[in-house]
Amino acid sequence: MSVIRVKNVSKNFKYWSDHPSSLKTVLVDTLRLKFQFGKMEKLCALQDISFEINQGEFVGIMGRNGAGKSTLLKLISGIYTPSTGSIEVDQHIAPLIELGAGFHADLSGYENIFLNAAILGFGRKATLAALPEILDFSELGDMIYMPVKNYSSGMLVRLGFAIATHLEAPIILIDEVLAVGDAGFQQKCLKKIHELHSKRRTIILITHSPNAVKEHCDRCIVIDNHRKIFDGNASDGVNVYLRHVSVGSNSGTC
Amino acid sequence: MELAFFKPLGIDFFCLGKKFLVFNLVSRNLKIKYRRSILGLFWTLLAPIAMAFVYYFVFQVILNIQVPHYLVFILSGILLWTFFSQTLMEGLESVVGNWGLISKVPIPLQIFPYVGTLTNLVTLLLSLPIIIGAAIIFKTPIGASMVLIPFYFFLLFIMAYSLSFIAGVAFVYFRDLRHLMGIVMQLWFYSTPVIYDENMIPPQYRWVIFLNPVGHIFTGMHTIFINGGWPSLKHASMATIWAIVALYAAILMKKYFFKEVVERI
Repeated sequence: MSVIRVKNVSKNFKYWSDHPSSLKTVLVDTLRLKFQFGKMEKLCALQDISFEINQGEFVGIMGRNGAGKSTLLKLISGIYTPSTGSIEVDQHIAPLIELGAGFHADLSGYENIFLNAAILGFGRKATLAALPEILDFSELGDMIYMPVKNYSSGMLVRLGFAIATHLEAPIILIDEVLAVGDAGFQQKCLKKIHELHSKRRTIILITHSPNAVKEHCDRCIVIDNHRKIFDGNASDGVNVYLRHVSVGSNSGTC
Repeated sequence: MELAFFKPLGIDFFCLGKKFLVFNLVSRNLKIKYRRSILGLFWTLLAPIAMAFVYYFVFQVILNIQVPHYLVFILSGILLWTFFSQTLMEGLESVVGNWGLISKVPIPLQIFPYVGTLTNLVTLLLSLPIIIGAAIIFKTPIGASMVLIPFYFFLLFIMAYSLSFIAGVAFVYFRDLRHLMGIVMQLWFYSTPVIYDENMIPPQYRWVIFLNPVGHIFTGMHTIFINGGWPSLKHASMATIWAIVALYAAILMKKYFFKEVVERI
């Protein structure tokens, strides 16, 4: 059963070159009868992408910098809307584009748990249910009642990861967030992700690390030059990715 | 038909499906604003109250203005205006200022001006005892019209939220609005019956107040606090119409600009 359906999705960013960005310029130019809209240019980020992701799959998305991976992730999580094509998502998504999104430095870790959970789209009940596990996983002890401005970056990551993975989100999007924290914690995170995978949660991981994809993912999608160039078996996908990394670079247009 | 058009938009616009998120963001704002010092609320209210005394001294003591219970008059006016102008000034930067979050999490943009307005509304409600206390001390006639206070607060809330939303979205496109905003708010302050009574304006300039979207709210509130009387139907209905116009403009703006805004900031 597919939970995410991406059909012929393209994404263009429109922007105006020489577009006046201040009201003063607009007013002055209008008075001088010189008002121009500037030239509209299109920046292509993704071109005709289609795939479906089934419940319980662990999919790795690979691609060079600027290939369009993050745009794809933002489209799936609903931050952007596609220019053409459609994206259907059946279940609640927890996007981990940034760990601890919306953490406020002056609030305690405990207060930030509720804030972050609410920002990720969860309600009070779900947050309270996950609270003991979050406290346990983050290993913060009494530090949880201190303002997070006193936390080390490792502690922040632990808390952010604990919140995002213990709330009962059926679909989890992870964007390169595992590259932080010490080795011990990384192992713990991977173990946790495996545990979620075994519970038939759908996981999408965006990464540059071939090993992570080979070891953990069931499937790999490779994006290059704004198009999908490979979709299938993880180790084959990694090979395709490695071959493409060594040649050329992404162009700005499709 | 009308209802069907308004209802789904309204639920979205007032973030009714996101109560837990709204609650958490408002409580975050209040904690940050007030927890740092026990006197947090005191400091927030000190500036408008000090302002009120300055105006009282200038207009009543020096210029001998002919308004009964002028201190109560000015206190209620300034506290309400502070809510309004502060919400608008904060609303201007609310969308751009939360860009870090908006670009990383699917979150409705309107939640930021909304939460800002709610936070300031809490401050206004907490300052209400000061106005009522002053009204009691200075023995202004208190009438049954006090029941209209929530109604006027509601209109002012709609006004402040709608306009700060519009300002917040416009700021994405025009970054120099920051400079303009200060001037606009200053002019707006003096063309609104905050420190003077509407009846003191020469008749040929009354249209300024008539066209002022928030003027009627202030006249209505002054009537309630100073005379204990009922605001005239004309004022009440004009205040309501202006609030609906602002709300409708904001909802239209949301409808036509929204998807683009996320990519523009």
